[in-house]
Amino acid sequence: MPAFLIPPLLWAQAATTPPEISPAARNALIWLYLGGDTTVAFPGLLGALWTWTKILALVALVGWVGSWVVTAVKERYVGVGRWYDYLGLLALALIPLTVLAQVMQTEKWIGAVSIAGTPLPSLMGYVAATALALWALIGVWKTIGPRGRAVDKLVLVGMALGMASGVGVGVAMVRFGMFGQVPGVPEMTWRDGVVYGARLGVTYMGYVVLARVLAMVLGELFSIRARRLYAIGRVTLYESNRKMWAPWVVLIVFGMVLAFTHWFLQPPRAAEMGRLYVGTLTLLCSLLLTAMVTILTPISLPTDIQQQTIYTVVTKPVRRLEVIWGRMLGYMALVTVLVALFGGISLTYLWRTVMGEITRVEAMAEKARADGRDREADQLAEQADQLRSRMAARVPVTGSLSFLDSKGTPHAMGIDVGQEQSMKEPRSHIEGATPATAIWRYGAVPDPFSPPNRPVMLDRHIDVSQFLPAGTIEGEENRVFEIQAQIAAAEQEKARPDVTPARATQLDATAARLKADLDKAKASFEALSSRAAELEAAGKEDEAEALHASPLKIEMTFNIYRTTKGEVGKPVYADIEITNDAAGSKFQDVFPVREYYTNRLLVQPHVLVGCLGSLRIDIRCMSPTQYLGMAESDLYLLADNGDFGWNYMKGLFGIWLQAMVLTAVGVFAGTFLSWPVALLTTIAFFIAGQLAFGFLIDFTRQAVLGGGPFESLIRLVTHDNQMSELAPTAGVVVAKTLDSLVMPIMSMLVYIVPNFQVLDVTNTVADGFAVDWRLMLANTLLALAYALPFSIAGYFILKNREVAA
Amino acid sequence: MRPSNQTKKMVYGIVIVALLVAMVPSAARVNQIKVEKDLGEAAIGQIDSGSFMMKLFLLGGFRGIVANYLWLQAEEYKRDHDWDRLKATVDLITKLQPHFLSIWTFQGWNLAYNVSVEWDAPDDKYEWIKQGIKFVQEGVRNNQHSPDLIWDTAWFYYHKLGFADESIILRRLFRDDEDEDFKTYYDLDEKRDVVRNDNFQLGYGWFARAVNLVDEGGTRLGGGTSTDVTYIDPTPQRKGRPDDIAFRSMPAHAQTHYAASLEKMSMAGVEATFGEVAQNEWAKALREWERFGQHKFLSHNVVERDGKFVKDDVYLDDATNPEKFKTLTENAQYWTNRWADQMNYRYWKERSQAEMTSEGVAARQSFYEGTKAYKTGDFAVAAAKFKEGLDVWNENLKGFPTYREDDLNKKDTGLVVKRYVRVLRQLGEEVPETLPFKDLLAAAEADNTVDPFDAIEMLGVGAGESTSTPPPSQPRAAAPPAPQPQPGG
Repeated sequence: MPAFLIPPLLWAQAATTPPEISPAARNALIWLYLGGDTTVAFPGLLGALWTWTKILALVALVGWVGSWVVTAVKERYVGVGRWYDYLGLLALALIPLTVLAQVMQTEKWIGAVSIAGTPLPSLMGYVAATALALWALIGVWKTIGPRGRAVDKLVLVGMALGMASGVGVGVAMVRFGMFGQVPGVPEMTWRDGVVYGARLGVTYMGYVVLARVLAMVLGELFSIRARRLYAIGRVTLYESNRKMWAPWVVLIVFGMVLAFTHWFLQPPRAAEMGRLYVGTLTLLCSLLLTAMVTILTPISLPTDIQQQTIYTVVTKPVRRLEVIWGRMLGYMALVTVLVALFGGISLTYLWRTVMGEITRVEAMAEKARADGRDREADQLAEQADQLRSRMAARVPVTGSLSFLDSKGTPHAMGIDVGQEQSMKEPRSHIEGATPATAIWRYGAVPDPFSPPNRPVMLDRHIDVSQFLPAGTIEGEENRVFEIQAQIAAAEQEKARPDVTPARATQLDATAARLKADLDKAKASFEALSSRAAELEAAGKEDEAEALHASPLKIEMTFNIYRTTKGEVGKPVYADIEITNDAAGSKFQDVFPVREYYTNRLLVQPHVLVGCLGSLRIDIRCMSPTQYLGMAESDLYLLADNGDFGWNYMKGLFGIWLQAMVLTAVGVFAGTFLSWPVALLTTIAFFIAGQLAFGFLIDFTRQAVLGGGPFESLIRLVTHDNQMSELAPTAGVVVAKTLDSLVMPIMSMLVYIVPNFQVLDVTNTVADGFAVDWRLMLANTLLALAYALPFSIAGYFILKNREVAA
Repeated sequence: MRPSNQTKKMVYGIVIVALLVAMVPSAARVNQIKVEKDLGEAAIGQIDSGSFMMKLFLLGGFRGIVANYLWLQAEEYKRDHDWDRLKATVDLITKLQPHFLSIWTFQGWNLAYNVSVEWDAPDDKYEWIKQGIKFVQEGVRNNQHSPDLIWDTAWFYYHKLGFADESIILRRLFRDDEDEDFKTYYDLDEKRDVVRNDNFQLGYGWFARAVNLVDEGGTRLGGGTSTDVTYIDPTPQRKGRPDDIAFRSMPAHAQTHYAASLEKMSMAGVEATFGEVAQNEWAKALREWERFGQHKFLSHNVVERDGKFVKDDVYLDDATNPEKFKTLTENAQYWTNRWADQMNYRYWKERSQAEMTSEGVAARQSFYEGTKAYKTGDFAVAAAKFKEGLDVWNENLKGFPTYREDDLNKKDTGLVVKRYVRVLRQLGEEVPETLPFKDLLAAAEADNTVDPFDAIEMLGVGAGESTSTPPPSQPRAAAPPAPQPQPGG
């Protein structure tokens, strides 16, 4: 089993030797644990999908039970004063009391009371949970009888089985000592096993319900017809066009703001103009589109229902899922058109302003050079150059950064000079004129942050063919090296004692084929080299140059930390050394570092020949007592300077995805709320996901200083800071109790609120880097992971709602 | 009976017209307040359309919230070293609150000092200082009656460009700057805008303007309503209070620094200037000091005179005029002495007097040429120049005992003496017994510091050119300790 599947929890063994367990059973238990605990996630696409499924299962469970209980109350199967209703009442009263007891205990109002070895608040909690579950069960059971189908009863049975197996797994895990033994904490008992097992059981119950829900959705899915979707989509499109004039309003506002952008936005330096403008334009697109979607989508369904125009649709043979998805299609078609228009307009605008600025600055540089003001000319030319490099879609190839300190000892990080900086990717420093080195490694390299005895390997191979294309001298030479390496590998494998005869013959054949390839590559390399030599001899250097691969571009952005001023005006120098260990070639250069600029270095492509994807770049600071700061993404090989326009559209696609998720949320809210409430709900979702997502995450990690909303209110009113301990007055205890009731519910929002921020990749575009296709794919999946459940939840609500009422 | 549609429309129309008419006096009143409190936009001859649009868009009331948010964001950009976005954000705040003085002062300082210091290359530092200065100048345009912002502008020209560690390069960059607008100040004597190539001249011009504005009664402090509020503990006007002696001395300081900087290579690669030009600038410095010395300050205490409690008039210049000084009351003498000492008035005045003479300038020229020869190893010339200079300087200083005994002068002259003695040793000559200022030698020998604002001292005689092209990269062999063998590397 891969190492990452074993969470740290399971590493340690209990102090007392647990009974033996067969490996198969142990593995099964571990998988059951992974499938049941919602707080455990493992990396990778599969892991993400699984976590997603777990959350969906829980949501489905809550939705399913909730809908039956609501029906039960509405139809007066429960809540009519029978004996079991007192159970529900008991639960309702006990839940706040439990929390109150807990808070009073932590505030030392009452001492810790235990009954039969279980603390009082826990006991109260168990009683409350059991009572509530019983009451809900009775409600569901009584309702399913007359109103449900056989399959629903089956689901109930499945749920019972799920709960039972959860408890079983929990008890078994305790029994076989699979929980880590934390020193100082009493050993786990079967009771802890049951409680933990119940948590797992809830997830298993969720799986059962999710299966039922999926079956229902699948049935609906097969009856969907494209023409009906199209028809509803078209109507939606017309409606938003005619009723609200939405696209026109948005377009006009966009044009208005664009026309006056230069009033509000004056870039201080030409170098950063592109970044500022691209950032502002994408922000504007994002604001306008999301605002439009937020207003349009939640209004349409409620108004249709209110004005009873929905009759004309639902009386026809249209599936409810089609009503939802058709609407989404219509809105997204509108968004697509607008994104295309915005993209076109803003690209034209950027082309005019930024490219115009480049030309202008270059002309100024030219003039300064002609006037003999060389320093100014250099400065201006540099500005134009920086600006130009940001108006591209650079594809960086980054290595893995590690450090040697001033004594030559390896470290994952350099020196922290105590500079305040963004903690997203903090820079650390190397000392000048010492062996301190920053090393970027390419190839299969150990993650510098992994423990040395259990290194995690990273794949940072360079795709050499990107830099040394076939048909160039270096490309062919590299091919020779690569084939040689393959032959050597084949021969090595053949020499191993355990190789089977069949494999040996296979390897022989491979070697023979490779040797033929090698001869071909060698011949073509020699032909090209001699041709180049001839051309050079004939004085046609340009043509000879064309036979070589283009130079390797390295871009670097370092910052400088000076401990003394040094000689004024003298820059700090860095020493770069590129080592190709496989072929034994080396490149070395010294250059002045310009802070906050992209320092560029052109290197003869020959250094890459035969590197087999591995390379090592060492940076040292040469100026004594000065420091150079760097983070991993501060040095990269520039693979490609892609097309800016295309990249910009990729950035806008991120906004499109945001709009899609928001549309799903908006339509969903419209299925059961009146339009003003639906509108507010959608806005709340957007704000929570766009502006407050980081806060939400802090919330679930309980990392918010100053307590929950009620405690914060007390601090706000009494002008108390976030850190000080509040005196345990009655008010504080009540506030903390309320917080303890509200916080768990609020922290669950993090599972439901879409992370809009992460879909936005416009910063990458503004910085002039290409948006990776893989990232776009991942973001699309993420957006779908939110949009699909929302739309399907909307379907169920619409299905069970009496729209014609 | 329900009013008909027609009637309704007429009523509405009348109400609209009535409301509009009612607005006229109030609008006039508001306009008048705007002019009184220097809050009007059109008062400056142009309307900032961007600012107007933004305020309109945010309907006035929301702009406080937006400005607050932008401040937070600006601080965040500063933390993340995203300087250009910081500047753009700050610009937006000023569009929202152009009459809020703190934003101009705080963020102007931020740009000129805190941002510029983060950039390593002097060219980049210069760009950001310029951004900062232009930023406060924009503030001046929006707040014509505030001496504070004018003073800030002057201070940035004077101090940030003139006293930075890199000022020899920064001043050169200023001189070479093509942007005439940035090198312009309004000259009060000539009554017109003038373009100057030295940041100290700009500092002088803007300091003088701030002082002049205070004399004309310009005292805008903060927001528009501050005058209507009775503060328990009022914030004093930041610059130009009546007893702000240092404030009034700044034009003279800036002019003196300009004159002094002419006589050395204070800009990398720009030769010093002597002769009449230097003499004139020193004469102007003297005039500025005298103008400062003749300004009437009031003593801090009150004295009973003729049954009335009065404050004495204090003129700093009286400290240099023994005849007049004797006629003063004891209290006036006390304050005159105290403030003259505090401002080192006697030194500055006498220094200007000593330097403005043709002998003074000639001595400085000899020192300069001698130092250049000394630095290039031309000892014969150096010896001759130093000797000539020291003799003239000695003669010249006979009339100025205060300046002669001043520490700063002793340090300057001592350095020349020290170098002269070294040159003589190199030439194998005896140090003459009659060497003037010989008493300064011991102290000078013990002092290894040099003038950081002299490019010849900091960068050498060929300073100017070596800074425009980067020094040749060091060969690898010159690199200090070669990397030790790296374990596992």
